Amino acid sequence: MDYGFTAGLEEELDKVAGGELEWKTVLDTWYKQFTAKLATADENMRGNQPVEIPEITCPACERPMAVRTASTGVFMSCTGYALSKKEGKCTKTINLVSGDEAEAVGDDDEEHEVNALRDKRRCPKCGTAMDSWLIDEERKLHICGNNPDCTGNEVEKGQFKIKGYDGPVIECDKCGSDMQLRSGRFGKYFGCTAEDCKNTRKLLRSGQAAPPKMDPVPMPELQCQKADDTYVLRDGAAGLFLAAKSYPRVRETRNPQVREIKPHKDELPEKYHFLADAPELDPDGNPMVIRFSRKTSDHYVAGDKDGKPSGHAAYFENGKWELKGATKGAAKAKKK
Amino acid sequence: MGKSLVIVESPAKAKTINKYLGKDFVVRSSVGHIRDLPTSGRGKPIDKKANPAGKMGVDPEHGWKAYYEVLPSKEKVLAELQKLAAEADEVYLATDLDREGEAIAWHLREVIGGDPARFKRVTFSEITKTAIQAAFAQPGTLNMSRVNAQQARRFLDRVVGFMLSPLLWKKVARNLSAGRVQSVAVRLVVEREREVKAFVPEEYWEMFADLADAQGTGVRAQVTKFKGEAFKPRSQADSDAAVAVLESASYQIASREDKPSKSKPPAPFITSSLQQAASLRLGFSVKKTMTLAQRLYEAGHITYMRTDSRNLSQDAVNTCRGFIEGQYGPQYLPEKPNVYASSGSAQEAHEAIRPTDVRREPGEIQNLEKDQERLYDLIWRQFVACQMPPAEYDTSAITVAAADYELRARGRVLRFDGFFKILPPVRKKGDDDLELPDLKPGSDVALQKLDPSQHFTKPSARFTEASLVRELEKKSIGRPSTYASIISTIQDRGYVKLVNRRFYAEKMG
Ligand SMILES: [Zn+2]
Ligand SMILES: [Zn+2]
Ligand SMILES: [Zn+2]
Repeated sequence: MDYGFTAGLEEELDKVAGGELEWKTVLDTWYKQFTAKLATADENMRGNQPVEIPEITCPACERPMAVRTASTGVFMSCTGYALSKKEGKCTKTINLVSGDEAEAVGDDDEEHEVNALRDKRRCPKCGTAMDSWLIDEERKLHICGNNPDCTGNEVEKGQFKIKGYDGPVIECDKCGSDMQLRSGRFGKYFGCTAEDCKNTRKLLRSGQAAPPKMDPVPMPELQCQKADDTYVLRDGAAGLFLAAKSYPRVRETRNPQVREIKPHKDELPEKYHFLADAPELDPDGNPMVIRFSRKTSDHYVAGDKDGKPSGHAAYFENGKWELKGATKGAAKAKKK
Repeated sequence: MGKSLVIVESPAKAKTINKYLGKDFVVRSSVGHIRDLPTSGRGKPIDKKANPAGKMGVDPEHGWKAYYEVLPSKEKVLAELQKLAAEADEVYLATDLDREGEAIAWHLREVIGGDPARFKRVTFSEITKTAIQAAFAQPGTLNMSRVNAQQARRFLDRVVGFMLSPLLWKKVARNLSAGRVQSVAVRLVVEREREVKAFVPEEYWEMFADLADAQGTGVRAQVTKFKGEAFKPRSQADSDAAVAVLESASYQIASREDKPSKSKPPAPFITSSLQQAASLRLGFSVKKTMTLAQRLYEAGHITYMRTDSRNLSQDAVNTCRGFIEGQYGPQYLPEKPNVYASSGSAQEAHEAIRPTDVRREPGEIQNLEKDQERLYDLIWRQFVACQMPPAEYDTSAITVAAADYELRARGRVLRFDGFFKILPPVRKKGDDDLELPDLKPGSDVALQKLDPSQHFTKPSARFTEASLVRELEKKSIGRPSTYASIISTIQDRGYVKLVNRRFYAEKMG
């Protein structure tokens, strides 16, 4: 391996510092070599080639799936992804759950490394240890540790009921089955173990599962401002918000007014019923808008005068709405 | 006579230096770099006329013309420095002694402007009264060769950063050397990762035997040879076969060897060895070690922390020898001072990292954070130890014969602790000193118990931050001033990650 180029350059800089070499000469020589290498590197650039796994077919279109590596992790995507819409583009992806035993982090790293190596299958192409991923309960995919440089892979069939799982289990808020901790492209999450339930809940930094998601409430009577679309009411990390039906493709969102959600009270989860009971207007007759305080993780309502805080806000305290007059604090919280 | 202005790069350093200079000096700090090549993030649009090189800020096609900009956050600092400089007769640039410090001094001179003759350069490798007064008694001028070496490094990094797309950067990190240290560091990690994954652990067995003579004096010996060859069973079957023979064999002491051995004290710290030791003994990251060391330096407690020289000043050695003799007695003072050679590439006339005053023992410095104190303790011990005599052992080895097998037992007794007095050795598991019993060659011993155990060969260990720095140093890549930033850059960019203090290469799509 040629480390000499870099080491040589380092020594040349030492010589520049010692007055033995002229700095711009060193730079010129380096630049010539660098641009030449860059030109050949551009030619040799291997694209982000996904590794096709013929045995695993797309649940949506039956084309083979391929393993891709993104900054968020390893996942499978349909090989129909690169096609045009006319040719039947398919954007199906499958999250992969690591099939290797939980990486126990102990004092003896070397012992751990050896055990991990002994547990792994060997790549049929290059002999390197393979990483394994659970596709579902019947199929485990082994991918060469040098992927994507080596395309070696094997599909193992069997019963892989996330065996040996001793992580946290929570009850599914949709169907009552167990939810287990899994890892996907965007980090760890709880996934429902029931076959036909697709419920997931994000794992928060605190180690807790994120609060159950609310099903989006369609509000066909509310027209978006910019897009030709109507709103749905969603529940996000920053509380309730109105989003275009085709969000996130159409990125239009805003805070809902109290009077807008009132007709949908019955569709809201019980924990949000109190919001439908909030005052509709502030003392000056401005509409009250539902807002969320990240500090207290609670919703409150605040008067809105032509897109600016009216200065009035109301908080739900001890089972009833308390109006707080035109305080600075309310105006400030509103601005955020 | 008007006052003289002294400019350093950090407020803490300014405070310490201020103590040692009279009231004719005004000491100010530039709070780091004052200007740099333009960055896109700074808001101000690039003025095409003033800077035809655009965002890159340097033009490799036209004689490397550079377009430096004053950092927006430094405009106020600069205005004050300019005002003070206008009132001063002389301006002393007292930035750090390495190339980066030289370059900061040059940038300061350039932006402050005025008659270049009133700018003086002073350097010192420790912030003590003696060193500061000596430096100011003999000020020099800027060393443009060193400034240019630093500019060249900055330009190189800038050009690579601009001309390589992030995606190509990853490929470069793997496949070609761009003359950039970070890419070599990434490649070392990637290669080690591949080596580890390609490694197939092989089974082997070890066997120990507990033996005792007629009086019940026991010794534990390892089976080392079979028919003159190394004994290394590859499977349980092989091991069991040996057990069958060894269980009924007769054991006799074949030979015994006793000889003295020594353990020499370590060299005083340089940047890389300090990072290693702080990682091993204190669990500090490379970055943490350097930050703490810099604070100790700026407060005047240790010599400059970016160095690859093992030199020690005559004064420091003499004071240390006096301290050792007074504190531990003449038997702990070698006849002559211990001298340590620097590696061939040691670039400048620096010193090793040592306490500025050895008589200031760890724990005696007021107002030191806990971790700063622990690092000072480490540096102080290493320095005192480096001027102490070796530790001395009596080592012994017994060879036992049994059928076609040979067993060996080793023992070691510390006879004189030497530098261990101040720097106790880091012991690994099962590395305890052990005195071998008095068993004479020719005497018979009986087998009490055989203890076979299964093992697997291990792949090369993954790099830690500190061992990666060591590897770079061995390959003569990177310099004391750049190790810490290399280590952070490759992690920040997501090319590699640190898990349980070991480097893993990130998958690259
Ligand atoms: Zn598909
Ligand atoms: Zn392979
Ligand atoms: Zn469910």
